[in-house]
Amino acid sequence: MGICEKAIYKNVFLQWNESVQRFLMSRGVSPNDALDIVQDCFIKLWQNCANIHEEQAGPFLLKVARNLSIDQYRKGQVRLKYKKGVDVGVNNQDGQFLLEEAEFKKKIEETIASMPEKSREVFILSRFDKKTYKEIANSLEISVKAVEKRMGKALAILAKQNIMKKR
Amino acid sequence: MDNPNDILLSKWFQNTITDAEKEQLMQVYDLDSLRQSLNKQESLEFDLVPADELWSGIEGNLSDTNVVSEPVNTKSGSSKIKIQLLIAAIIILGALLLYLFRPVAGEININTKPAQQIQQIIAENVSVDLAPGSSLDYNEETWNESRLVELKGQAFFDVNKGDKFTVQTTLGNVEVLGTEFEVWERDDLLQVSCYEGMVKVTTDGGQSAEIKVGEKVSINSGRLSRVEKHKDQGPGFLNNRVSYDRIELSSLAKEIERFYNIPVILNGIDKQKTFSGILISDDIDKACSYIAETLDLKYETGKEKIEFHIQ
Repeated sequence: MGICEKAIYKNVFLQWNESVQRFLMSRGVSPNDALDIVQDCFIKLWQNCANIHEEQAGPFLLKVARNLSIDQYRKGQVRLKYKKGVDVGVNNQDGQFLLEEAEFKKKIEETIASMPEKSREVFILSRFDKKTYKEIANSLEISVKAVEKRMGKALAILAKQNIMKKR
Repeated sequence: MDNPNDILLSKWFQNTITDAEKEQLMQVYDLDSLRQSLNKQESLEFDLVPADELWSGIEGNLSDTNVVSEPVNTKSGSSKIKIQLLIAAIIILGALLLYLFRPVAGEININTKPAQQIQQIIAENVSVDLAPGSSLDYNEETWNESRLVELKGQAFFDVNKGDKFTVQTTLGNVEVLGTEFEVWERDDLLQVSCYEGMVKVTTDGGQSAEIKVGEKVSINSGRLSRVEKHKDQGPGFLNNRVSYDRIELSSLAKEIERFYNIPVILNGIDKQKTFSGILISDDIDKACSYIAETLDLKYETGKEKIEFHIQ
């Protein structure tokens, strides 16, 4: 059974719209372009709704997102922001701390941007989309073993950046 | 090139690493530092576009004409031409009881309660699918002389090619010319859709229309509509997707009650507002969710009732 009912389709949208956005942004796609591409992905999903089961929606969306962002790949920068409620120390920390926070954020952005495509995809799905290895394997249509390898590679890159100075 | 330490890092990340393996890894990487990096990364996020903003850009671009319609499960195997009649007839399942209590010799009644759907062979070679809350009456003994089926509600008939009979409803008659079609009578509206062959629909006033495969016609307040086209291969109720075009909410509530056998309350809602869309008839949550979504309402489901109200 496909996902042609609007309510079901919208559920799929709510489940996956953030992941598709992060996927594109982590590839260096600019926010404006990402907005257009995400919408195109979901419209393409709708056009194929009769042939796609709910469980296949994720892999389909990510594939389309990858295809539609090939010429955007690594053009822009990876931009992150602090989550709401995170104490960035604006009120009570000194300037040095704030500077270090800003530097750390920049380092993470650069590290993510520097990761090879396959490792980066897994890293984002794990650390930002909060997916399990099994879910990641399903989403990218690869084995769990492959997910382990790619995540390991991403972590190695992160470790090598040595972002945290020992205080 | 595969580095074996990568897998160890992954295991460390998942907390499935052994002590010995951890020792090995610590020779190569500053794991504490890595853990701190990950913790700090935890507080960062992408600057996402909010879902509703994104959705409004998508929703406007969805077009039904681009979608391949779902294939409907039609009965397989038989080469009989099927007839669907929307006119409901009452058929009582307990034929023995009916036999005992029937007022006329040979009269048979079959009916379905809300949320009940049955399939039955009548008159030896007519197969009937009766939708919930419907009933069918016919006379077994006089069948050969007078092939009349009285229907109230919604049904699908499957008839041998060449067999003819008439389905009577209070709103009009449907003459079966050996085809497959659905007859659906509700309030003041009779809808007949043909999926194979041809049927002739007649009003009490004598107006009639012949419709063939891919066509449908309705009788509304005694008047025959013009013949319209449809793309369905079978009746919605057999596929748990019942389609409505501008049904008043008060009637929609009754339809939900008919399919699910649970009272539906419209709280503070204009009951004459109309709904055009689908009633999913095999999953109450999906059904209510879809309807609420389409009409911009909220709903609550409980064991005793379903209630819709304004946001």
